[in-house]
Amino acid sequence: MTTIMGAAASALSHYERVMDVTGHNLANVNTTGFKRSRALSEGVPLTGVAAGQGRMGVGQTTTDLDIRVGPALLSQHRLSFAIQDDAFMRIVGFDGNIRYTRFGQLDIDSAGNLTDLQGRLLLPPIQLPAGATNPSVDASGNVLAMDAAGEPVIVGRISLARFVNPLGLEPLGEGLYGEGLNSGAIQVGEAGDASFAPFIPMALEGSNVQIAEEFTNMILAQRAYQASAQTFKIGDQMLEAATNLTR
Amino acid sequence: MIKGLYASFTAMEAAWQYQDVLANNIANAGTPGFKREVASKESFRDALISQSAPIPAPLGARVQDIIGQIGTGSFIAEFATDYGQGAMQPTSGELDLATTNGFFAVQGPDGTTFYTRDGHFSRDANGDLVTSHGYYVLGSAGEHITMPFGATVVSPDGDIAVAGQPAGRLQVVDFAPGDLLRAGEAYFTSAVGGTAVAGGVRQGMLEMSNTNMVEELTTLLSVQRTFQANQTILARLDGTLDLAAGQIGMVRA
Repeated sequence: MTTIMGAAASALSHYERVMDVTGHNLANVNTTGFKRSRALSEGVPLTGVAAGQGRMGVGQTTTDLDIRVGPALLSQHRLSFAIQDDAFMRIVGFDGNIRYTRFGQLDIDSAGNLTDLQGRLLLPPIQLPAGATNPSVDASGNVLAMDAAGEPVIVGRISLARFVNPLGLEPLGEGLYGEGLNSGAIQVGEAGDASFAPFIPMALEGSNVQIAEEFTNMILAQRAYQASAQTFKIGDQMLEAATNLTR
Repeated sequence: MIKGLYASFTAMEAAWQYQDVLANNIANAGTPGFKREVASKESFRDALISQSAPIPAPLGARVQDIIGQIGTGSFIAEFATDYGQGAMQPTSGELDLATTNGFFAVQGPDGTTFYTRDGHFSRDANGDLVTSHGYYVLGSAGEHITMPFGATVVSPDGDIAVAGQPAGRLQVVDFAPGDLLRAGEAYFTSAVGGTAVAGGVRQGMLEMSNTNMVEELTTLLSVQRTFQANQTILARLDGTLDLAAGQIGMVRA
C-alpha cells in the first residue's frame, strides 16, 4: 500500500548520496592527483515477480571512480612528475601493505631513500648513492642525480602498476588506493615503455573535477530531491484521506 | 446507493495504483536505461440493470425488464512501458555505452538473460565486461567478453577493440512490441530471442531515464485530486446511508 512513499524515500536517500559525492568532488577541485567519484542510481534486475509488482523506486546507488587524467600543472620541484595514463606509482604504506597513488611528488629521507611527501618508501626502493646531489625525474621515470664527481648518473627507475579494473580500487584517503576485491590483475612496467605513457616531468596532475559538471549534477540532484519530497507528501496526503474515510 | 459506493471505491483504488507507477517513474528519473510506465484507465463494462416483472403476471411471462444501464466505476486496464528514447548524457567513461536501437543482452548469475538499455559497464577482476550488478555482458554468440589491459574503442556496431585488438562484439538485439516483460526498473526479459541490430551503439554516453518530470508531477497532482474527490463522494454517500439507516422511521419521544 505504501509503494508511493517507499519509492519516494528510496529516491530521497539516493539523491542525498549524490549530493555527498558531489560535495566531496567540489571540495577537492584543487587537490593534486584527486580522482572524482560518480554516484549513479541503478535498476535492479528481478525475476519471478508478477507484472505490476516490484516497483521499488531506486534499486541501488553505485559509486565509481572516474579515472580520467587530470590536467598537468607546472611544478617547480625537480622530483615531481605527472602520470599521463591510467597507471599508479607503487609505494609501501606505513603498515607494510603496497599502496598505489597518482600523486607524483617525491622527497628524500635522511638515508637518501626516495619517498612520497609523507615518507613512505617507493616500491622497489630507490636510494641515492652517498654524495649524490641534484636528483630529478625524467619522462621515462628515471631518477637522475649528480655523483660525487659531478657526473650525471641514473640511480633508479620509478615502477608503475596498472589494474584490469581501476574502478575496483579501494580509496584510502590521502590520494592513496589499495587493491580491492574487484581491481583484478596488475600489470607492472615503467613510464614510456610498452603500453605505459611517458611522464611529464616537473609537473603535477591536477584534480579531474570539473566545476561545471559538478554544479550541473548538483542542480539536477536538488530538483530531483524536491520532486521526490513532493511525491512523498502527496502519498502522505492520500493516506490521510484514506484513513479519514470513517470518522 | 451501494452501486455508487463501489464506483467511488474502484476510482480510489485506480488512483492509488496510478500513484504507485508515477512515484516509481519520478524516483527513477536519474536511473540510466529506465523506461517509464504509463497507465491507461478504463471503465468497467456498463452493467444492465433490470427489474423483475410484477408478481401477479402469468408464470410464463416472468421475464426481466431491462430499464437502463449503470456504470460501476473505473480501473486501470494495464500498465504499458513507454519505450521512448531517453536523453543521451555524455560521460567520457570509456565503458559507458548507450544504444539508440535494440537492447544490450546481459546474463544473471542463474543464467537468465536480461535485456537493458543501461550501458553502465565495467571490467570485473578477470577483465570480463560486466554491468554494475556484476552481470556478464554477452557477446554476439552469447559468450562473455574478456577485455585485456588497454584503451577500449567500441564501434557503432558494437565491435570492441582493446589496445587495437578485437575483443568481441556486443549482442545488441531488438524485439517486436509486446515481446518484452519488465524485470526490474531498467531490465527486461523475453521468452523469444531478439533480432540482432547494428549501428546504434555510442561510447562515452549513458542513456538516461525517459521519465518526463513535468508530465509525471502534473499527473500526480490530478490523480491526487481524483482520489480526494472520490473520497469526498464516498463520505457523502456514507452520510446519506447513515440518514437512511439511522434517521428514517426513528420514533422520537
